[in-house]
Formats: sequence, structure tokens, C-alpha cells
Amino acid sequence: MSAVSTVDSERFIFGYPVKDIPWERVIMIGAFISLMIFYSLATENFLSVDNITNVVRRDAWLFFLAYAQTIIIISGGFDLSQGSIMSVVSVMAWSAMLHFGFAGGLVIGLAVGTICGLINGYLIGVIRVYPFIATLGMLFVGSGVAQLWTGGLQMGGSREGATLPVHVETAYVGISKGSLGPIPYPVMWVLIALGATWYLLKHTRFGTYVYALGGSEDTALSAGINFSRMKIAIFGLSGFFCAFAGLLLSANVSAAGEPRLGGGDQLLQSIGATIIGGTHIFGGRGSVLGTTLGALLIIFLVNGLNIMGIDTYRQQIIVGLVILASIWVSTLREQNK
Amino acid sequence: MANVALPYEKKNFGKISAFISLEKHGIFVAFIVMMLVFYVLQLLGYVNNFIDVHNLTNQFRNASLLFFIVAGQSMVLLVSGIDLSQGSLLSLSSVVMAQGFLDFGLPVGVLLGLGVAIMFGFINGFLIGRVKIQPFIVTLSMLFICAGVALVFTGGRTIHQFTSAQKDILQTIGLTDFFHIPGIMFIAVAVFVCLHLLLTRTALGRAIYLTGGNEEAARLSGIDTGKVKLICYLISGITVAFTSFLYLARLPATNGLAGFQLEFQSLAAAVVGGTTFHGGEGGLIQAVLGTLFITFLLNGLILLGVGTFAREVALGVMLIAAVTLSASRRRE
Repeated sequence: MSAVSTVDSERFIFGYPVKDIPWERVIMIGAFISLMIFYSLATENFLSVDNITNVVRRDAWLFFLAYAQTIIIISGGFDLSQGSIMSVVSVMAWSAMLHFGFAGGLVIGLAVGTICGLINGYLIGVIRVYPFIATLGMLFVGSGVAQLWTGGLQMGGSREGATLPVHVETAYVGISKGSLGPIPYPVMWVLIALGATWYLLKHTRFGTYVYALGGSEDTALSAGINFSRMKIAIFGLSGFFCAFAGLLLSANVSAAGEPRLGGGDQLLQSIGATIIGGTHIFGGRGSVLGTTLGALLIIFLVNGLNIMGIDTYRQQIIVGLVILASIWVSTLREQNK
Repeated sequence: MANVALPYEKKNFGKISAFISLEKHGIFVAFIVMMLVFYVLQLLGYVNNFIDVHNLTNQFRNASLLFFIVAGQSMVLLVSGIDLSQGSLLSLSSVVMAQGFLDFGLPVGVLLGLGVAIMFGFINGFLIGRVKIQPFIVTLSMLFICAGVALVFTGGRTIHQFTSAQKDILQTIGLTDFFHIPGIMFIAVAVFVCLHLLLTRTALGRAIYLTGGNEEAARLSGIDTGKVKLICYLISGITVAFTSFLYLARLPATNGLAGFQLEFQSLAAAVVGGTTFHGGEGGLIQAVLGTLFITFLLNGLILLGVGTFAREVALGVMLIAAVTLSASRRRE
């Protein structure tokens, strides 16, 4: 929000200068509220504690992908490989849990995801491949490796064959389906991730550098920011978040190792949540709070469509149109400034 | 490599660069080397029928099909854009075409299919060129929208209920060879010549390179950059329309996933060929080289007995490797 002061900007609403009102945010919150009202009138079960808890449990992964994507887009990059990293982590963590128990599997899963992210970061930061191409390569490599690992089949879950020991499976499922009192675990994971990302972006040197890189890469470089190290750190962090997202979603689908876990519309939704949340596509601007709203909007949009019995194909069309509309609005506003 | 002190320092390839510029001829050399490797493997008995009339005919047919969309992708890359909607637009166009053929006859079906693809190409172009939305987001959303529409349209089923007469018509178009040269290749060559001339010999071509190279400069010198972009996306839509017809003709059946992830193959081919990502560099010759390279690489790997999943990994690694070699060109 550049504060260009013209005569026009002296108007006030509720003692708040008109120019300073973040209209995108207002529109989005309005859209979110009207969506909720529409669904609760149109369907019976939308506004029930059960439904909302289930949605949050099932779709918590989106917040992690979207937070990672937000940091990356703010710094002027893209990550297409998020879904593939989820798949790799899902199958490798499952195999690791078979041999090393729950904790071992968790650590190995997170490590695998982080390593994939670090490789992305190395390619982009040190070898200077375009983020788009590097992560596109990782998309192929990740999904290929995940499917090679299992021969394309699901591991555990509903499939016959080796299964995880009962206590391991219980613990694994627990990270998604357990609760602390009335609060489901995934809500806590998301809140922790939100807090951490927010703190990282707003209150650390790392965050300042992220914004600086996205604002103007050349300026940031001449100011002495270590480009390579920043990129490696940013993409490594993204890999870690994707790994956690992969574990959460796998745990939610009955603790299976699913090689096509991230092969669907994960990419569209994570970028969509970020864009709808007001992060500027060319970098330099954005916030995790906005992204949180964007992610909430998407998951409840999809959930409502599910309850209304609209199939996945039509949901894809609707989500695509919503994202297109939201970026259209923000682009038009950008130009009118 | 680990200590690149200056961010965008140009790499020096030493004395070799005196003879061959790795940047210019790298992919050509790589292609020859790859073909030789597969040929040697064939002589050793690990690969069957790689250098073989029938295989080559088939591969040139595949390459011709891929070439259309690679050409479209290249045009879009030249104006520093990207078209991620190609694959799902191909699915959509081909299912509309097939259903139209079944219901109203061949000409109407083809027109409907072509119309759909061209319309979406125009919508992409309009949103990117006129409304000035970021290409990546537009075409990514369009990827999911088109795929969704195609799947809703077919209800997830395959359209294949052609009578044998209809199949004959289609396969005559799709599979006729002249002395082992696939007929589709002639169309591909014609498209290549047209677009190549467009890029190198016309004012529009110059405008395309200029828009991709430096949009601000292009705008200041009086070029309507929005229009140039719109035309490029429209061309991408038209190439998709061509491809969807020829896909359908080759294999008289199609479904809502016919073009699944094809956009990534076309991107990989264009980029491996040497059309760069930041626009203004590359062209149709690069598109041909990239297409041939990808087609024969995948074919060789299949004949070598490498499975689908491992081929996917190979494609990813190759993409990164190819771009790494030319990464020094970024921001000269």
C-alpha cells in the first residue's frame, strides 16, 4: 500500500483514511463470510462442529504448503514441486516407520522433504536455474521416485500386504486425528506453523531479507544479502513444510504410504491460497495472515461444494475460476492506483 | 561451481568455446551423442529396433505431434510468458471434436474442437495481454478449468464409438505414410516454415522478440505489447487445436485426460532446445531440436526397458541438467 497523498485521500470512513483501507482484504473477508452464510443456508450439515473439525483435520496440509509458497513467492520464486515432495515423504516415511518405528519414520520423512527442498535451493541459489524449471524438474523426479519406490502401489492403508505395527499406526494416525481436549491436533500444528512463519517474516533478519529479495533482487544483492544462502534456506524451509504436510495428509488417509498423494490439485490450491491471500505474484509483498484467510476460503469453498454433492471435476472448474477472478480483481486495482 | 562469487557472472567454457559454442550447439551435440549411445546399445543387444525404419517412422510421427505444441509454447516463451493450459486444453478440444464428429459429422466436429481451442487461446491471451494478469496464474487456473470441463463433458468416459468408416477416415489422416515418412510430418514442416518465417522475416516476429527481450523498450518504441502477447497465446491455442485433431486422428479415441501433463513435456522440449525462460531468446529451430531430443530420449528409454516412473525421473533430471548447462546465460 503506497501512501500517495492526494486530495482524494483525505476522505475518512470511521476515522480511517479511505486510501489506507486494504480493500482486497475487506473483499476477501466479505466473500468468506457470505460463502459461509450461503453454505449454511443451502446445506444442513455445513455449519456443524463435526463438519468443521473434519475439514480442518483433512485439509490442514494446505496451510503448510501455502505458508511455504507464501515465503517463496514473497522472495520472488515459485515452488511447483510441493505436491511431489509430499508424495515422496509419504512413501518414504511409511517405509521408515516399518523399520524404525514412529519417531524414526517421522524424522526420516521430515529429513527427506527438507533434502528435496535444499536441492531445489541449491539449484536455484547456487547454479542459478530458474525456480520454475528447477522445481518443475523436482516435480518429475519426486513423483517418479515416489512411484518407483512402491511400484506405483499404495503402501499399507487398505492394501493387502505389509502393515505398520498397531502402536506405530495409532501414533501416526494420531498426529492428524488426535485431539488435545477439544482442540484437534492439526489446529495446533497449523497455529504453530502460522506463528512461526509470521514471526520469521516480520521479526527476524531472515524475513527482512525475504521481502528485500522479492522487492528488488538487484538492490538486495548490492546491499550484501547472500543470495545463494537465502535461496537454499527458503526452499529448504519449504521442503520441511511440505514434508510435514505430506505426513499429515498420509496420517489422515489411514496412515498409508501413497505415491500419488500430492499429484492432484495441491499445486493449484497452494498457489491459489497464496494469491487469494493477497501475496503479490512478483514478490516483495504479502503476509501469512492473508494466506491463512485464502487457505480457509479455499478449503471451505471445496467442502461446501462437497456437501452440496458437486463432483471433483466441477470443483476444479470453480476453484480455478475463483483464483482467476481474485487475481483479476487485484490486478485491476493495481492498475488503478 | 559452489563458489560463484558474483551473482550473474558469465561462465567461461575455456578453449572448447572457440570451436563450438556450447550455448548454441549444445543440444545438437547432445542429440547426436544420445543417438550414438542408443545405437551402440542396439549393436550390443540391449536395445531392440531403435534405429529401425518402423520405429523411426513412428517416432517422427510422435515428434511431429509434439512439435506443434512445442512451437506454440516457444512462441509464448518468447514473449516471456508460459502456457500451462496446453495439455488440458488439448483434452478438452479433442473430446469436443470427437463428440461433435459422432453427433454432427466430421467437418462440424473438427470446427467445434478447433473453435474451443482457439477460443481458450484467445481468453488466455486476452487475460494476459489486455488485462495484464501474470501468465503463470492465468494458464495454471486454465489448466484446471479446461481439465474440469473436459472431464465433466465426458463424464470421465472414453469416446471411441466411431463406426469403422469413421475410423477409416480418421486413421487415413492420422496414419498415412509416404515412403515411411509420416504424413503428419509434412504438416509439421509446413507449420515450422510458417512460424519460422513469421518470427524471422516479419515485423510481427521482430515485435515478438523485442517484447520478450525488453517489454518496456518495446512499448516505448510504439509496439502494442499486449496485442503481441495476445497473438502469441492465440497461436499456442491454434497449435493445440491442430494437435488435438491429429491425436484424435491417429488413435480414434480420446478422453478427458488425453493431454494430461503434456504442457510439461512441451515446456521441457522448448527449454531443452534452448528457448530461454526470460523471453526474447530462442525460436523454432530450438523447438525442433528440443522436440527431437525429448522424443528420442523417451523412446530410447522405453526400448531400453525403463519403466514409466523411471522415465519421469529421467525427464526431470535431464531438464535440470540441460538448464544448468545454460544457466550462466541468465541475466547476462
